[in-house]
Amino acid sequence: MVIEIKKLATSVVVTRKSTDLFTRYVGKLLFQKIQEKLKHLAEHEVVIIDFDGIRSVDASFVDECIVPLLELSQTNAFPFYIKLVNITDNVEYIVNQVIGMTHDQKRYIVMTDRLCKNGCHALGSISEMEKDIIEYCVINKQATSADIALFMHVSEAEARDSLLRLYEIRAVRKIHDDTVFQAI
Amino acid sequence: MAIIQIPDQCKDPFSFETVISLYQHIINQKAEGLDLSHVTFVDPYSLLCLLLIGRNYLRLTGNKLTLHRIPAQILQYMTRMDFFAHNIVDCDDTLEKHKHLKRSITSSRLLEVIEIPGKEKESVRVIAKVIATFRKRALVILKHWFTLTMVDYLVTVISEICQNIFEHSLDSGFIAIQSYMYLNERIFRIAIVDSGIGIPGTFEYMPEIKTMSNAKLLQTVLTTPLSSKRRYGYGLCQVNAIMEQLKGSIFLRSENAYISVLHHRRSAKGSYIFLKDDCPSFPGTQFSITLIG
Repeated sequence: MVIEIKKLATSVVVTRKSTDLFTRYVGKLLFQKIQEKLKHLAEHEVVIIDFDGIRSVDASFVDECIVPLLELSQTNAFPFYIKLVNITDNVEYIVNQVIGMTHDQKRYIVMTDRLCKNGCHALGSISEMEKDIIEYCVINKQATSADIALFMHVSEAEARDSLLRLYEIRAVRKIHDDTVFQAI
Repeated sequence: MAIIQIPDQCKDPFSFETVISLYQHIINQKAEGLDLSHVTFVDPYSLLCLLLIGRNYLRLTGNKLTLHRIPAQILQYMTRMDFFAHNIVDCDDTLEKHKHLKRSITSSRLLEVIEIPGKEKESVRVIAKVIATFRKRALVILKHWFTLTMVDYLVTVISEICQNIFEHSLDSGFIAIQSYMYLNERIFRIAIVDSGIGIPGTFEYMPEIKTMSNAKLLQTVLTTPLSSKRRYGYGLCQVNAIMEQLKGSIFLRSENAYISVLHHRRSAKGSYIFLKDDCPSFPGTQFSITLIG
């Protein structure tokens, strides 16, 4: 599912002609609109949030729109995944700053279509090992724990734990087969 | 009732402290007006703080403060910046129509004084208008200085600080933006002010904050993710991080303290932070964001 956030923003009076998404108010409104669209979601579907036409966001918007969306992807009855595409440097920076902060033991990672300044196709609170695993998956499209163990020089159990952790925060996909993890 | 002389100290946030030191005197003496005849230059921060002084005076005394003997070029500037359009202060001079500065898109003034309402919905609408105007004008006026990415970051800064007005101050505020030449330096300044409960008032209920001096608290909100409202407190901290990237400076004043953070463009030594407590008391929170080109 592709959600063009600019198109959604045109239905909100204050952002109708704007290239910027800001304030908690706008964040809440857009989250509600995205939630409406998610009713038609299939299990394991990747929800692409297309930021084409959006130049900047602020922390309040991210806090009210993107963070709840990531939270929902982790807690929903069936799993789904979020990917941000066509983001500007500003959107990358603000999203990374906001979701990179862990709170109440909660951790969020969001995938993007570009290699970000952190050297990874994902934003948020990510360890160096997790970055390598995500990049391995992005390049090879999928990975098993054996692949990661070999690549990272760690035990298979450790690799599997890391992959499962990334799956729990919806940074990699796991469909039916418990051993194969896919890139988002 | 007397007319109080305003010294020629309206050039930047630091010099304006001298004017703020007169604030209690202006209110307590129920001054009849302010004499601006010595003023040679007014920057956007000083302009907005003068407006706050006028608004506080109006609220406390029920009368409008009158500005007297304003030099012609200052009056032209104040009129151009819509200073008198808010109906807060009076002026005993009139500017002839042919002396009004033109409202051209290529004017060096980026954004006239705009009131940010204290209520969320109205405020969001005004912030949207401010950002749209800033974007439109920044691309024309600052095209040889700012990249589009820099404008994006400044939009985030404006949005973050303006939101603090309706989220925390319990009052409305004002914004003005301008680029200008001063002492052979090209200056770009965003001023955002309010006369609400101030940053110490916002964090009053947090016990770990209570023991801090006000200046230390201002430093904490600029350097540590801390918010009294949002789950991911990052507003002012993010403003500071962005200004560090843009090598700008921040002046933040609240109640009786201020902090100045300078991220030097030309110095390799990084950032400097100056804290000052025990300043003259002035209600609310006042921001000045500056880039020097």
